[in-house]
Formats: sequence, C-alpha cells, structure tokens
Amino acid sequence: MSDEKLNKQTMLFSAENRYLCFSLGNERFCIPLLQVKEVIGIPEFTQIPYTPGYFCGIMNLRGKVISVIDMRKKLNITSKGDDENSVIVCDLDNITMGALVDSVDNVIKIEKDKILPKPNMQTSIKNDYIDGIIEHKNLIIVLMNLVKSLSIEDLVHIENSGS
Amino acid sequence: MDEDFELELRKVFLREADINLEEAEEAYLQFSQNPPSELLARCFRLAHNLKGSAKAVGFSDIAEILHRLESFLLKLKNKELNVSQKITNILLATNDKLKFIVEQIKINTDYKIDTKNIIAEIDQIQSEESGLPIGNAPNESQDLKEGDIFVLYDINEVEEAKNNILSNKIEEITKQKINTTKKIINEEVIRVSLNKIEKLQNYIGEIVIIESMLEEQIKQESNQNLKNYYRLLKKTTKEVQEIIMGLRLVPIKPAFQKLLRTARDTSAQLGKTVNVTFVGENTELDKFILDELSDPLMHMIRNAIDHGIEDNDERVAKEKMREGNISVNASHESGNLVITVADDGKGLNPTQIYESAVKKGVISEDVKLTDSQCYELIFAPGFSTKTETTEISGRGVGMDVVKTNIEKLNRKIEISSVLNMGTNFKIKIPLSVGIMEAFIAEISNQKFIIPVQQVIECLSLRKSNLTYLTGIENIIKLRDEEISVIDLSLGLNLHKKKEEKLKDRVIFIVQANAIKIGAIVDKVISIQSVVTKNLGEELRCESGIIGSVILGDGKVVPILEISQLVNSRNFQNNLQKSISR
Repeated sequence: MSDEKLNKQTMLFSAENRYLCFSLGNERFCIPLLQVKEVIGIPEFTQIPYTPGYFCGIMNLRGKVISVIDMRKKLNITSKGDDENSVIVCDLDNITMGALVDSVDNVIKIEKDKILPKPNMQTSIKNDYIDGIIEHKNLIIVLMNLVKSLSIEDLVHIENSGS
Repeated sequence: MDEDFELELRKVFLREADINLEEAEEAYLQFSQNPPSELLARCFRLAHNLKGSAKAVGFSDIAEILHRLESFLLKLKNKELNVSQKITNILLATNDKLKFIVEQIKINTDYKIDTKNIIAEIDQIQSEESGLPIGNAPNESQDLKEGDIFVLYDINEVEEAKNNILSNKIEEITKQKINTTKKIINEEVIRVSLNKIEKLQNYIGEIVIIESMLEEQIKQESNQNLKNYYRLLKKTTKEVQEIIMGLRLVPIKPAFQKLLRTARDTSAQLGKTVNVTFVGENTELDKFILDELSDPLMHMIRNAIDHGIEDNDERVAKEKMREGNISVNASHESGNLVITVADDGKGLNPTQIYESAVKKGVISEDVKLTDSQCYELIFAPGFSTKTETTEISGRGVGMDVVKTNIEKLNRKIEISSVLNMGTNFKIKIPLSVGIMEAFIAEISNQKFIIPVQQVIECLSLRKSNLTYLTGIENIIKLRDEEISVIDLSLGLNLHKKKEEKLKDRVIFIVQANAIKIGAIVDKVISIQSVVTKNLGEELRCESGIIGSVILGDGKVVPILEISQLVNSRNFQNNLQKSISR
C-alpha cells in the first residue's frame, strides 16, 4: 500500500473513531464506519462467468451496478446460515463494492491508541487483511483492512491466470 | 460595487466572450474575396457587443482592442477597404489573441494584457490596405442606432471625444444595450455541467425501473382510476426520459468549425489550395463523444491535406481539378453516428505502405496482406508514409492516436481508397455512450446483452444447415462462406438445459479481424434500447464482458463482446474441456 493510501487511512481512523462490527461465522470483525456507505439486505445477484467462487455477482444498487463478494468464502470461514445475512456496501478508493456477511452487529467507538497491533504469528496463511485487534466488552474483534481482504488485485490476477 | 457581484458579472462576461468569439471566428472563416454585407454587419455587431460588455465589467484593455477591431470592421462593412486574404488572416489572428486573453483571465483575473502589439497590427493592415484616408465618414450613419454613433468617428477624434461629456453619454447608452444583449444570451442558452445532467439521467433511470415495478403491482389491481393515473404518469416519464437523453446531445457544428480552421491553416502553410465541404453540421451527438472526436478529426484533416492531396501543379498534371477537395460528412445511420472524411488526393498505395512497414519493422517480410490490411498499417504506432517529417504531421502523433481515440469510444474506423482517386475514412460511433440497441439473449436460462453493432446477421439454427464435426467446431455454409459456429453456453461453462427448444436457438454472425464467427444462443428475448452501466475496476478482465445493463425489472445483465469472449483463454479452456468430455 502506498504512503498516500496509508495516510488517508490513518486520517480515517483518527477523524472518526467508530467502527461497524459484523460477524463471519463465529468470528467478529469490524471496519471503519467511514468506509461504509450503507447496509442492505440480500439483493438479487447476476452471476458473471469466469469469476471465482467467492464472487457473488453484480447487483443493482438504485441504478448503480456494483460487485458483491462473499466474505466467508473469501476468508474460508464456515457460514452460520443465511438468517441474518446482509451486504455492507463500502466505498474504497473510488471503487464501490459490496461485502456479504453473516450478520451486522453494532457500531462501536474505540480510541485509536486502544487498537492492538496484529499479533506476530508464524503462519503460512496470508493475514495481511488484519489491521489490528480490538478488545471490546470481553470480545476480540479483528479490525479488517477491506481493500486487502476484498483484494481487487487478486481478482484480476485470478482472472488472467485462467483458473 | 459588491465584490461578489462584480466577480459574478465578470464570469458572465467571460462566458459571453467565449460564445461571442466562437461566433466571430465562424463568421471570419466564411469571408471570401467579396463577403456579403450581412456577414460584415454581423462581425461588426459581435465586436461591438463584446466591446460594450468588456467596458461594462471593467476590462478596459479588451475593450480597447475590440474598439480598434470594430473600427476596422466598419471600414470593411462600408467598403472603404476590400476584404483580402491578408485581412482575414489578421482578423483570425486577433480573434485568437482575444480568445487567449479570455482564457488567461479565467485563470487569473489580474492578467496583464499586452494591447499594443495587437492594436499595432490592426492599424498596420489598415494603413497598408487602405488607399483612402482614415476617417472618411460614410453616409449610411442614419441607418445605425444611437449607440453605434461614436464608432463612426475617426479614431483620433474618438480619443479626443473621450474627454468630452459626450463619451459618458455614449457609454451609458452602450451599457444599456449590453444589458439587453446579455438577457438574450441568457434566455437562449444556459450552460449546465455534465455532472448535473448525468445525475438527472441516473435518477430518471431509477424512476423508470421503479415504474416498471409499479406496473407489475397495478396489473393485479382492479381500481380503474388508479390504472388511468398510472398510464398518465407513464406517458409523462417517457417524455421526460426522452428529453433528458437528448440533453447530452449537441450538434457537431463546433467541431466542424474547428476543422475548417485547421484545414485553412494547414493548406496555407503547405501552399495547397483545398476546398473543404461539410455536410450535416446539425447532426447531433453526445457531448462526451464530441470532445473525444475533435482531436482525431483534426488530425485526419491535417493528414488528408498533407499526405492525401497533391500539390496544385501535380494535380493539374494528373488532369484533376487544381484545387483539392475534402468533404466531411456527418449523419445518423441506424442509431449510429457516421462520420466520413473523404479526399480526392493520391490515395493510399498498398505496396508502398507494405514496403515501408517492412522497412520500419512494423511487420515481418514474409507476411502476406490484402490491400485493406495494408491500409490498416497506417494505424500502426511509429508508422508514417512520408519520408521526411513536416511541421504539420510527423510530430510524434500519428494515425495510431486517432485509432486509439476512436477505439476508446468502442468503435472502429474503416478505410477505403483508390489510387489517384482519393481516400475515404469512415467512423461509426454510437450516438450516446449511455444508450445502445441490443439483443437480449438467453443462454442456459441466463440473460445476456449482445449489442446490435456487433452482429452482422442472425440465423435460425434450425433453418441453417449446420454441419456437425467431431472434435472441432461446427460449421455452417452461408452464401459460399464457411463459418465456424460455437455454442456460447459451452464456453461460458453454463449448465446446459435439455435441447428441447432447438427451434428457438439462434446463430449470431459476428466478425473479428476479418474472420466471421457464428455464436449460438438459446433464445432471443427482444431487441430494445438499453442503458449501459460500467462495471467496476474489479471486473476489468479480458473475459469479453464489457459492461452491464439494468433491465426494466431492475435486474442487472452483463453485456458480451462476442469476438473478444470467444478468443479469451477462459472460453477456449472451457470449450476444450466440454469437447473432450
């Protein structure tokens, strides 16, 4: 990520210390509230050929066409079922995308200095989508870097390699 | 005066100046050896109006230039001077300078204007061309309105008069006059940002979608009043929709005008006499496309004059008319804008192009090409048919830029040429970026959009004689042409339903790089105009899906580019898999 983007993100964190929490399976995640455009129910998708399995398809958001990605499939998390499923519409670096999640829980307020750094784990699994860890009311919440987790570069890459 | 108010006034002036100067340029370009008196009167009026406005908002320097220009034009109008090529050049040059000044002021309101040079030029040409003493007041003065009087004086006299009370009075009169002109301009045209129109367009799109949802509900309703009201609503929205779609459309005229200017400058520079004719200047097209098209067209005109048209003497030797002819034609053709640029010059020489391309390493020597493929070579980057580069062309921007720009608009450019008879470029572009005619096709229960422009023809699968070949693609024979046919559902890897509805299946014939391909779809649902939407960056991949469309029921449907799709690796892989199965 470039310095400029980092700066922009740092600014986002400090300007507004509020985060939207959501669940994927039994795990809890959050993203800066400033990235969230809106939360909607499950829309009707149109599938696009050749897209990877976690790509739900494209949808009509009041006249605008946006892509939706299933976060559970993307991060390999078993879903809790589709009772409360929602799509979080996010604005990321000029791209508007939807993230399909198990449930949207609440909005929390955390000072930036309370965010713990990502634990230094010895792991083979790519975890650069984690920006930090938040402890809130005895719950561990993962602060997610949406740009990395949705990984637009990945998508295009997979396309080009002809999976 | 309140500062904001003053700023606003200046803004209005700058906008007015833009329009005024454009109009003046157009008028000057129509000047011939003996221009009609209305034309001269119009130029005079334009300069006069702008001068008044400039004075009113405090741009006295601009006013001074325009004042001289005005006196000069008056002399022309009163036949004290005869219009010559030289004079037209000066007029155009002055107009350019004024344009430049206006642009500079837009950036910096305190821009210092150098009036001396411009005025000196005007004065010089006057004294050069005029045999008559300056200040010979004509007798027509009675015909002119009150506000015009002072310009009939000799310049020196006016300078003197400026100190008099008279001038104050005149200024007052001029101011009044300007106020009325301004009103007229504002009533006729207002400039709206494209952004606003786009928003409006998006909202009307939403309304249409909601309306179609409402329609479904109303079908089950028995209330006749409600149904009638709905019908009224629908009628009105349809009208509003049409108007909004039309808002983005502007006539091609300003682009033509720029071309005329380019042609004039280029031919003067090269010492060639060239007639340029324009047909269809009122043809409308999307503002966005017009902006994108302006540069390529200019380049094509320059090229036609530089490379296409021969020198005057050479033309005479070839028993052609001494003057070269270029005609630019704009028209609508089945929902497309078609622009042709044709010249009667020496035409393209395929052999010469081929040899030159080989020499430049654009193609290798053993490649065999048809004539039209040779013509295509002029679009290759780093290609120029001329041995030495001139000031006009060969500045690094070549026909490849033209092609890229046109392809950016998702359309192609065709060339036809006859040696020593001329060359014809034809560009076909959709009228508006947002709207197009398209087939809504069904492939394995999924809907896809196939733009009409892609398709050469459609055939019923049942009625065409398809030859099935094991292992490779199937083939149909169509008017002595063998065309390979591919089932799109196989390549798209969609689960095929049972082939019970064979009678509905359709073959679309498309063409890519001179090769025709047949593509089978299960069914054509309808042909209609659709509003296209871009896909996000995340889907910019080479899979042949170029965008999407929101249908009346709110559903999103992807747009296919068949030739791209069929050649994509994914498609070919899937096809191989399904064949080997």
